[in-house]
Amino acid sequence: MITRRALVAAGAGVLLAGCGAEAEPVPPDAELLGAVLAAERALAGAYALLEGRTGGVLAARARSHAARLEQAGADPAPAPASPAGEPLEAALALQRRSMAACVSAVGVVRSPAGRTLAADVLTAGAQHAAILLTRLGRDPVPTAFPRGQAP
Amino acid sequence: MSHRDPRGLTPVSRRGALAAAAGLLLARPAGAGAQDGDPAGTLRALLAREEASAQAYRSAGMARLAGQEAEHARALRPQLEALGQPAPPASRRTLAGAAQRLATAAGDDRDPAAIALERELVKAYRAALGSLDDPALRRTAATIMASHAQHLVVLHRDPLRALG
Repeated sequence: MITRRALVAAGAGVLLAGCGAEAEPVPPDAELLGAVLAAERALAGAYALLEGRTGGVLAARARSHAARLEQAGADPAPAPASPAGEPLEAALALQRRSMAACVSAVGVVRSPAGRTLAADVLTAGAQHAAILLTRLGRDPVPTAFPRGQAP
Repeated sequence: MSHRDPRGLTPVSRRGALAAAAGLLLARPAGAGAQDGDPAGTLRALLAREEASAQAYRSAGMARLAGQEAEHARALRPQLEALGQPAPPASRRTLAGAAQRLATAAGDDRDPAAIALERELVKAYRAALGSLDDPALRRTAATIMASHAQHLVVLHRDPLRALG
C-alpha cells in the first residue's frame, strides 16, 4: 500500500495538491520538508563515497542543507533506498529525488521561509546534478527546467 | 588568450572574476523589478530579464544558453496571460546592466559577464518567489532559478567555484 508519506517522499506531493486532487489535504510543512531532509541525509552519505574534492564538497553541502531543514522543523521521512550501481550514478539518482521533493515543497509549503528553503536546496541540487553529469561525461544542462527528472 | 575547455566554455581568469565581482557590486538590487504582492508585475519583470538575457547571449555568440533563456521566457508568457495580463510583445530590447555588458563582451570578458548576469537572475528569482501566490507558478519560477544556477556551473572552469 502506498502511504501519503511515501508519495511525498517520492516528490509526488503535487498529486495531492494539484488539479483533480483538491479534496486531499496538503501534508503539513514538516512532512513536505521532511521528504527533502531524508533525501539530503542520504545524499551526504552518497557524496562521501565519491573520490576527490568533489565528493567532500558536495557531502558538506548536503549536510548543511540537512541542518537547515532540521532547523526549519522538518520531520524526516524514512530514508530513501540507496540506488544500486556506480557511485556517481547512484548519487545522481538520489540528487534527482531530492530535487523532485523540493519542487513539490516549493509549491505547497505554507511558510514563506520554508518555500525559500526548498527553492534554495533545489537550486543547489541542480548545480550538484550538473557537476555529476559533467563528471559522467554527459550534458550538464539537458533541460531549461531542472526538477529532478531524468532526461 | 582565451583557452577553450572540453565543455566548450572559456575559463575565467582572475581579472575576469574580479570584473564579474565588480559587476555584481554595481548591479541593481536583487529582485529589482519584482513587486511585492503583485504577481503580474513580478512576472513582467522576470519575463523582461529573460528576454534581455536571451538577446545578450545571442549577441555574445552563446547559442546554447540563449536557447535556454528563451525557453524560460516562453514558459513565463502564458503564466502572465493566465493572470489576465497581456504579455508585452517579444521584441528586440535596449539592453542595460549585466545583459548589456554580456552582449558587448569579447574574449576573456565574455564568461565573467555571463556569470554576473546569471548571478543577478538567481537573485531576482529568489526575491520574486515571495510574491508568487500560485503553486504552479512558484514551481516554474523555482526551476528556472535552478536552471540559472546550473548555467553558473558550466560557465566556471572549476565548477565547484560556482557553488554559492
